[in-house]
Amino acid sequence: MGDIITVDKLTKRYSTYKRGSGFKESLKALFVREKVPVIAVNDVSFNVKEGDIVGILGPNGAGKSTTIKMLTGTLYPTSGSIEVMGYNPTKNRKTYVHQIGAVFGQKSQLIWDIPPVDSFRMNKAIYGISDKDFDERLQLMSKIFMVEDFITRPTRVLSLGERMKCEFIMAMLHHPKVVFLDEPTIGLDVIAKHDIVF
Amino acid sequence: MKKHMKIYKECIKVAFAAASTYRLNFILNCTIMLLGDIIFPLITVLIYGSGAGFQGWTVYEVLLIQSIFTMSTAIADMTFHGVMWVTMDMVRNGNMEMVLILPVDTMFILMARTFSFEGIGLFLGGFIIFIVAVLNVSIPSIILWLQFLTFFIIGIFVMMGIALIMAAISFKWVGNSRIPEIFSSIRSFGKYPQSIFPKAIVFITSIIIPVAMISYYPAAALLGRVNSGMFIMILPCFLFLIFGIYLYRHMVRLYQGVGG
Repeated sequence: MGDIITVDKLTKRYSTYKRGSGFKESLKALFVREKVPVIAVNDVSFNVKEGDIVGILGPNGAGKSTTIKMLTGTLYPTSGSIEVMGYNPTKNRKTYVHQIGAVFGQKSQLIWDIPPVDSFRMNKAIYGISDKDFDERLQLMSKIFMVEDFITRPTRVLSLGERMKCEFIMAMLHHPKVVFLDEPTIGLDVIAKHDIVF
Repeated sequence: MKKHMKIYKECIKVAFAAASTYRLNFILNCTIMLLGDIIFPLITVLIYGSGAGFQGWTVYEVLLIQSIFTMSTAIADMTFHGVMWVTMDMVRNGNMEMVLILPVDTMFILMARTFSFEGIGLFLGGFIIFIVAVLNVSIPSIILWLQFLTFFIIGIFVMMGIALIMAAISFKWVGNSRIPEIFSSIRSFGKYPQSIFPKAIVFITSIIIPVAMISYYPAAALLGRVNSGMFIMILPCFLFLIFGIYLYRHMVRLYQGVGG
């Protein structure tokens, strides 16, 4: 099978401000701030073949999440190139993101005050999923993740694990060709982790 | 277009569900918004009641301007003002990715998702004052009503332009709580007859930041006080909105996110 993702010399740099702690340093920072360049991702290259499941490992702050954000087209690289299914993620964003799914473990797509099933319906409208496909996929995934009991309860009353299961369903409803998962198993029990992987 | 309508319909349903979940909060917000914005027309009544006033303007003419401003604000609050608050919040907390991964225009979806029913009370309050004011000025002809409607809609575009510019600023000026105050101060120039301001201010409020279109020009149309210059001012209003949209989209591209 051919490459579905090609990343070449991907680099992301940004600037931040350095400031010390304590009142004196905070006061000083009001007038003078030292700009610090940060290299979040440095010259990364890799290929992923169609059908592969690939994980990125690294210590905290290594740039794993930043790389995933650039792959999803939500952050612009400073230099280098990305090609996913023939798309440059930063160009034709709407067409590209229609083909992918993404779960960011520490952020939520679910709408806080309403039940997850209503958030799913929102994504149904956004992705233009037909009624038949929506019902079929929701039924299938509800069974896999055993969420039938709580998808009609307001998101705010769900546990972290229950929410993560719903996040995963939300990202998969439109049948994406490529899925990017950034810490998708946060809060999940071992059974659900197993179900996601297999 | 059909897809956008469907999305908007879903967002309205969600807004209704959220409003019904926190019923007391909804009622309180409606009331507070109504009381907060209705106070301006009441102050106008008090000013005129004490014998003072804006030269060349009767109390009902001024009330007409302020009621149009109130209705305009209510429509804006319900339909697109949320984009400013939600952008400020998302940029600060680094949640913009969750919108950027959706195959829909970022500006549109944020406006749709922040649809709010809370402006309904304010709109009704403004509408009642509007009716009272209209009944106490000479009844406008159909042509004047059409001119009013045109200016009123364009005035809402100006409101949208201001909201988008303020939202765009929040990408650079992260977490600044003064942005809404600047927003409110700029808009407030639209609450009064433009003839009370110096020429330099009138130039700014008509061409640079055309807030005069929010309520003064629509009211002038109903009162038969329009001149050809007012129609020319439609152009800067459109340019203002286009600039707002362009700036917002440009700033979305510069979004940096926060730590993972």
